[in-house]
Amino acid sequence: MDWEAIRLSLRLAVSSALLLAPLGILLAWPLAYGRFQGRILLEAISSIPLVLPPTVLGFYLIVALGPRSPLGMAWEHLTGSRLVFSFQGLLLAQVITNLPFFLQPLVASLGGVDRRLLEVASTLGSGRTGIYLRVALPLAWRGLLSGLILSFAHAMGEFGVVLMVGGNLPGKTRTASLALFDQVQAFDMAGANRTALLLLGFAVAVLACTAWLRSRERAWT
Amino acid sequence: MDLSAQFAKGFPSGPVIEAGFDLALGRFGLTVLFGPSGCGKTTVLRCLAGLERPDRGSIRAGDETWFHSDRTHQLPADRRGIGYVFQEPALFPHLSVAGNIAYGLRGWPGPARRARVEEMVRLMGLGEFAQRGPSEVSGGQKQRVALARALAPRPRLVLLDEPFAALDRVAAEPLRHNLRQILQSLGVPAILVTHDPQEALALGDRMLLMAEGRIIRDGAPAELLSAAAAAPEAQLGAVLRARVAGRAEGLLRLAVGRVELLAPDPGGSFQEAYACIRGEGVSLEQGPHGLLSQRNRFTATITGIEPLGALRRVRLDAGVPFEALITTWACADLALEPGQQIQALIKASAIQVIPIEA
Amino acid sequence: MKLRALLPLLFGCFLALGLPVRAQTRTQVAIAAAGDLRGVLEELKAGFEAGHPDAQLQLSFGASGSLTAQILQGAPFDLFLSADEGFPAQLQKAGLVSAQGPFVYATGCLTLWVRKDLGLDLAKDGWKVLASAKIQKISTANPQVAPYGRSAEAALRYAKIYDQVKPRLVFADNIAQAAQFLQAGAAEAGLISAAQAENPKLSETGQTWKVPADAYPVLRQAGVILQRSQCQDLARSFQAYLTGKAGQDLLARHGYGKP
Repeated sequence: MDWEAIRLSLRLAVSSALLLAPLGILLAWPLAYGRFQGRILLEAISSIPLVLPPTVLGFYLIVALGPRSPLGMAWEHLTGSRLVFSFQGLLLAQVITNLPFFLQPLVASLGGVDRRLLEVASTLGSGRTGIYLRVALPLAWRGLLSGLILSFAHAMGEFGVVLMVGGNLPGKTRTASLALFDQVQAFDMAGANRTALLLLGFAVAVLACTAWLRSRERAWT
Repeated sequence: MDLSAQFAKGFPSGPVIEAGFDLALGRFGLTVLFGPSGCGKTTVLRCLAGLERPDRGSIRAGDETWFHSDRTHQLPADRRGIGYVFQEPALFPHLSVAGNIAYGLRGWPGPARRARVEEMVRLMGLGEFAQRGPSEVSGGQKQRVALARALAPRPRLVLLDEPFAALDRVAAEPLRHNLRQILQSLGVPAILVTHDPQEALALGDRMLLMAEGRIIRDGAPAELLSAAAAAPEAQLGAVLRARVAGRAEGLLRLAVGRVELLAPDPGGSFQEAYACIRGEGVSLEQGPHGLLSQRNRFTATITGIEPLGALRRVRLDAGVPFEALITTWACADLALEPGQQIQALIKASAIQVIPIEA
Repeated sequence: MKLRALLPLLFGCFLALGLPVRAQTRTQVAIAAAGDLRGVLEELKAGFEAGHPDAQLQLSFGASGSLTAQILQGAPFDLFLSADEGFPAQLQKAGLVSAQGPFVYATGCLTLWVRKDLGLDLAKDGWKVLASAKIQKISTANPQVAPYGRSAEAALRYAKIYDQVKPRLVFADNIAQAAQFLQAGAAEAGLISAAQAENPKLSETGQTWKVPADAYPVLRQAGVILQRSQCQDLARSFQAYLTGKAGQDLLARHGYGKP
């Protein structure tokens, strides 16, 4: 059993979910409540990773983060190591790839919050930030949780982008799904089975946890 | 310091809402914004609160300009110091009753905040419910919480949009009863939107009468409601100020000018009230007859007669003005003419008594 | 708010996972290797590490072409073992190869594998077996990125049956995956390396036939040490091991020819 790969996958998924949370919360506000010109465009851009095949996504990410790109070069200048084929590069790629998985449930949930509550909060002295943090977000907690779970689960299983941007380097970027692929290619069916079962079990456990969490909350309509 | 509002807002579907009035801030006063459903009262309130932006005009509070056509940005709702109570309670479901009330007190130091919440809880009679969630209290209690929440941050103006409309009578009555007292004790001026004439009469010191998107009259509720200016369904008939001269067996003896009337007692202890006499409840007769069921009978002079569809509206004066609605035939049969003296009979049950709160 | 309870939990997990499990006391040597080397390289690794306790080999397999692309993009490998000479040459042209240049470590053998229970006699009929209708799919590596795939195509053309079998060809990402298709039963026949064909999982279920050497250009498998490598000495040691007696014996046992 490739524990290193599994630990790497977990670390990647948790880290990307944690990074996504503040970024997504920030982006969700204009998407849910904004009425400015560029909103449709912003919505489209943030949804692109959903519709693009992982290979296309991986390709563009390599171009955008590779050693010949401005971002890649800046990174090398600052840290001395390459952005692609590293854990950090993979993390960045995962955040970009999973952004719509986090945003969509959250934005939908925010849209479902009663507008009058937001107006009341306004009359009670809350500025836009106050309304968002004290009323809208707390009432949209289901969407927030869904987004976290979804992006986490997706990051655990992501394959194509990870392969292209990460390169399947053991210990650094060989995630569990890549390890599984390797085991299959090496005819290690028993090992592949074990890895797959573990990933499956983990996914089920995460879903069960969230179902339990949801049932424990009072039902707010 | 005054609130000075003069603005208009148009809608894509056509109607334009206009409002122009002044209102004193800094002391208690309850202004009723009255009119039929759909005439734009809510829009006026929302523009005052900053929840909507008028198309032109200005809204000023003392030195502060809240809205002006010349400026692109109006002062946002959170900076106007206005409390707003919706028709539906709109309580924050994720906060307790106490949490809701404390919401607007964010900048306050801890002890002061707690004290204020307790004060409001006591004032609105919410003692047992303070820690409950909004889903655990009744409709009437929810609206009390909404009111407490709006009043807690010491707003300079409170706007109430038909706050009793969503409640049933049993829940609405006590709240309506207390509203004036509470606002008065807090010294907060308020604008109350309603389409219920009784509510307007019972609560308001001043009335802004709205019809078809414009404020058409500005004056005392009693006067505006009895005049022809009000829409037929809002008319209460003649609204006469009366003093309670006696009470017995569920009836009141009211002194209205030099006339004494018997009317049903709506209950409660009050010394003064409005007696509303609709034209339909007044009968006329020439000369005295035998004993009739109507207890209220007195002499009046006819001051005018006008047609009203199949009926005639007979204006009368008995020291106080009122009117009778009778058929055209009856009018002809009695040969009624202006200047005549006639006996007016009013069924006690046709007199609606609206107590005046102290 | 339940979310607040969840966050510290997540943070805890993150911290726990972030700590490396074993301290890296041994030098990591990252080797990118062509797919056909899967079986033999594990043994080579064990042998090398036994003699060099301060080294740990990290193996990554793939199609030679794909690995070359990654290296061109900056993938941090120390050593690259290709299945041909062309890709290492490409890297040398890009200036990524260390001073000594490419070295040939083995000669690859293309093998035709056919499932046993089909009632076909590979030894007798050779190429003609592929004409049988029982062979529905023929597995080979992608000629664009895998040298064995290129050789397979060349061999099929040489035998003048390429057009006939083309509709039934299945292209795997690399030669190891091509072999996996056979093991999984997705294809009844395939062109793979000799080394892979003798893996028990395949040798027990199929017959093999060594494709005549004149049917395809010689598969000289070359390797390079990458310029960027931080452990040039160890890489050179491995190269020496690979091309030395111990390594060559191991390669020969797995069906490779001499360089």
